[in-house]
Amino acid sequence: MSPLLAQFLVEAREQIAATTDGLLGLERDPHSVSLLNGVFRSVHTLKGSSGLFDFPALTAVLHAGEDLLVTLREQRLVLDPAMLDQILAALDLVAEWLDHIEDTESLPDTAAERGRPVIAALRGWLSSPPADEPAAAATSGTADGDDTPALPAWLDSVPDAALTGAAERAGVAGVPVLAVTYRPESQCFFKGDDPLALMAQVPDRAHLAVEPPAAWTPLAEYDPFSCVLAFRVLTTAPRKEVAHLLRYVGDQSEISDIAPADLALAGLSPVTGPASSLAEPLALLLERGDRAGLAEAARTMAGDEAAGDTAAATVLRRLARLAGVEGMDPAVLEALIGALRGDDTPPAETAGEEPADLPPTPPQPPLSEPVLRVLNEQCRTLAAVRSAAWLAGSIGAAAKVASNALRFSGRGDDAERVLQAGAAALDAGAAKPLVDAITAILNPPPPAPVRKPAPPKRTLRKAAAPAKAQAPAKEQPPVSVPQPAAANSSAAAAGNGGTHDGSERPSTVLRVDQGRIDALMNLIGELVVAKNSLPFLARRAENVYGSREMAREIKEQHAVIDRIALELRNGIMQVRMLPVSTVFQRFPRLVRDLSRKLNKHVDLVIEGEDTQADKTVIENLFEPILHLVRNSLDHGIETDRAAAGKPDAARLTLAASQDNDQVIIRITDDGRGIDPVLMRDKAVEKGLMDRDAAQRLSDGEAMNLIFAAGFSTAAAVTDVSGRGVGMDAVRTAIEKTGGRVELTSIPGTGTTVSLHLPLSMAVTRVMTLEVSGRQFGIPMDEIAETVRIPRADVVAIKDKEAFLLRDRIIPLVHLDRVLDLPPKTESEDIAVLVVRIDKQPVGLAIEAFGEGMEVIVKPLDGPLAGMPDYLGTALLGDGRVLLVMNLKEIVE
Amino acid sequence: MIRLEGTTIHLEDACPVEEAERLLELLQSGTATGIDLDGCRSVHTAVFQLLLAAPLPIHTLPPEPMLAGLLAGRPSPGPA
Repeated sequence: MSPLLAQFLVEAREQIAATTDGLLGLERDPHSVSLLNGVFRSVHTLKGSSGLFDFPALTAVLHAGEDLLVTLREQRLVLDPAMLDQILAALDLVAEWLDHIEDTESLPDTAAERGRPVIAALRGWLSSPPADEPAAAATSGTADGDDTPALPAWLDSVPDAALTGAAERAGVAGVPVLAVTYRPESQCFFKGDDPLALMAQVPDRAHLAVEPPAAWTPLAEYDPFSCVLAFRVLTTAPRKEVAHLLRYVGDQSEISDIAPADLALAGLSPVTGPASSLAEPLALLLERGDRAGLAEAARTMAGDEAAGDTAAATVLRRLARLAGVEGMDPAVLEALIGALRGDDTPPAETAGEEPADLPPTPPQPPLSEPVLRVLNEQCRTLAAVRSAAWLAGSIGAAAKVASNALRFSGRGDDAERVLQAGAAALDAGAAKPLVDAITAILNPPPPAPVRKPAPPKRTLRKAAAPAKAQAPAKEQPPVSVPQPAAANSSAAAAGNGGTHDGSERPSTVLRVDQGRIDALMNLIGELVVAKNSLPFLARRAENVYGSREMAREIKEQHAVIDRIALELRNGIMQVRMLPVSTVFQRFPRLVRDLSRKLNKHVDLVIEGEDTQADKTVIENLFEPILHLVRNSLDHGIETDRAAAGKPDAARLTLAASQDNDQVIIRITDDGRGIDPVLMRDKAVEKGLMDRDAAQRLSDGEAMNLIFAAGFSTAAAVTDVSGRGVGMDAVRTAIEKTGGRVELTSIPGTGTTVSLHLPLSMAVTRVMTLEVSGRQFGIPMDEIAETVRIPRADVVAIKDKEAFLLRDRIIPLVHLDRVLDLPPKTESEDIAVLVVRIDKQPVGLAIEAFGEGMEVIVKPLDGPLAGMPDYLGTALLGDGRVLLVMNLKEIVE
Repeated sequence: MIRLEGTTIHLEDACPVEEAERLLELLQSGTATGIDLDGCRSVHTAVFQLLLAAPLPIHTLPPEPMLAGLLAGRPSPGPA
């Protein structure tokens, strides 16, 4: 599998999980805009990245989901549970396909078939007309309504011929011209985008220009796969077609409608002086409807009267060309004549009033997000410096970084200023001057004190209405044109930069293949074993070579290595630790689906999801918890809770906590509990025991019958649970990971099942013991106590042996007999290890106790894999192999 | 296809996104003195963008009018 696909699978699963969480959150809080946006983003990203691969059905399903979310986001639809079901079902399908892709790198053959109904269901919600393409829907908001859309600032830089051409076509057709601004995200090449090719496909294109970055990165540092260009297109094609073309880059592009009259005025310089008087006769001609005369007059005037006035000549030439076109919208011509008349406040005055001693400041390019972040970071770093020894270095570095960032953004002056401030700060021995300088750039003073405020009408031009006398005509001279919008947005961005950048820091999380961690773990295991051989060596140094001194030094070294090995082991175990939330997070969805299916109202409460345990333990938890949750919902929680005097909403709690070296998971419901009488009856009915034995059981024991194999109390097998394997399977699965299950229940009040799991399976504490001269290991947590009993105290009951310990009869098992080993020599006392098997104490007669130690138990494999008597093997410090016993199997 | 002939970089036929890296290497190496797009049918944005940034004169514009138009109006080459 290609790394790209592998990465996609990992991320897709994350996105699906995030989407599911978000959707469930939305069900509780349907008005949360942030949740909805989050869900939309996840699905959008997922769809986008799926497009990199050839999974058409998958992309189509996601696309349908995205479209539905778009309408939700625009509040054209309201989320309801049935809709949520379908979105979730779509996600399930996608998740299923992801598994298939992981196995075979392709979609299942049935994908298109299975996807179709899901897509139809999603699209069904959109049936209200028209099912807009997301890009169109996303931008139509700005075009509709009373607000006049801001015209793209770049319109003025479009060549005259292109402008006039577009105005000509649009003016005749009576449709707006579309101005498309497309700023591809820098990483778009990795998504397979080719922005230039996309722009080349824009139908009826009248103009295409490329906007280079403010400053090119030097070739030495140039990243060939980061897109830095932006694209500008004028087209007379219908918006729908353009939006469809740009549907996958809707969030990176902007489409604005421009009335032909507005377009005709773009790029014109203000007309002043005598040329204005030419407007009147032209207006008269237009009024009379003499288009040919108008065109002729304008052409003549452009050549004669206005020959020395380029601004007026341009207007006249445009007018001449457009007036000669049959069917031209008169509004366009009126607007041009208005421009010639110059009846708007002549902007030249504004420029003239500008104080002469202030040099005109060219509009500053706004700072980009990463640059703002860099600048903010410098301020923070400087503020954090406490030690005088560090200060000089920090100031120098911060000044350099900040000025480079500014220079990169095309703000050479600011960069120079920061460098000077840095020098001043160095002289003063305090960071303040530099911090002030950077802050001043981040929060620029309002433009008012520097330049005359200019009317913001430039961005708010309206289509010239017929016979409107004061049609805005004059353009501000470029030099005095401030960019209020740009300035504001950069200030706003600066403000945001300070508060938001924490969350945008690059992630420091590494994704590591589990195999590598396991390999490390194995190496550490070997290190521990190697380390354990040092005490043997010390003993040899003393006994064989007679050097006590040497033995002491080896022991000292052993202590050091021991400590490091321990830390190393703990460290790697920490790496393998996962929070139980990785399992728990799947349950809100499941509980929701199940409770809807069962028509029960259930509130799921999750507690302690930060509790951590080893990955292997966590991964084995899902199935058992799923069984338990299903059981609770199906059998535990009453259908008619009101009759039981309980609130309608049942409560199911999933709680995790840590207790020493154990993780305890509790699944608690407030349902009807388990009836011990019923359990006894069932046990007899199923033939698990006779009635006498059943009656002798305590209530607690009767309840625990639920874990017996082949026991199910459900009257009917339902879709949800009740196949009679559930609880038995739970117990087996938990015991396999070295844990145990406990159940407490109060009839009528509820049931709690606790899963006690080892924190880590990697290291097991074992006790060694000797049987017939051979060494074995037993997991420490099964051992209750060690006792020595006189042989005389052993009593025989039929063919079994037992002994009395604190007034309790405990069966005695001779391990040598069970293991078919030669019998040990008879002695006065018997060493007995009292262990608990299924909570029942059992005495194991052995030859001698060994010592407790931590070992890494490796499961038996190869030809030995089928031996149930042993959990596995561990390597001892002296190189011997220790067999670790599976007591339950051996004794039974 | 991008190849260096003498000191001229030739872009030919279609230049997909991967070729941006090759072009960058050629530009960085400093051996090239000019670019020839005579036989160039189409370029990926990544390549196109690099052509804009390249501090080298373009000897021959591509035959395709849109591309030729965009490259002819090339702003003053970027980094010196």
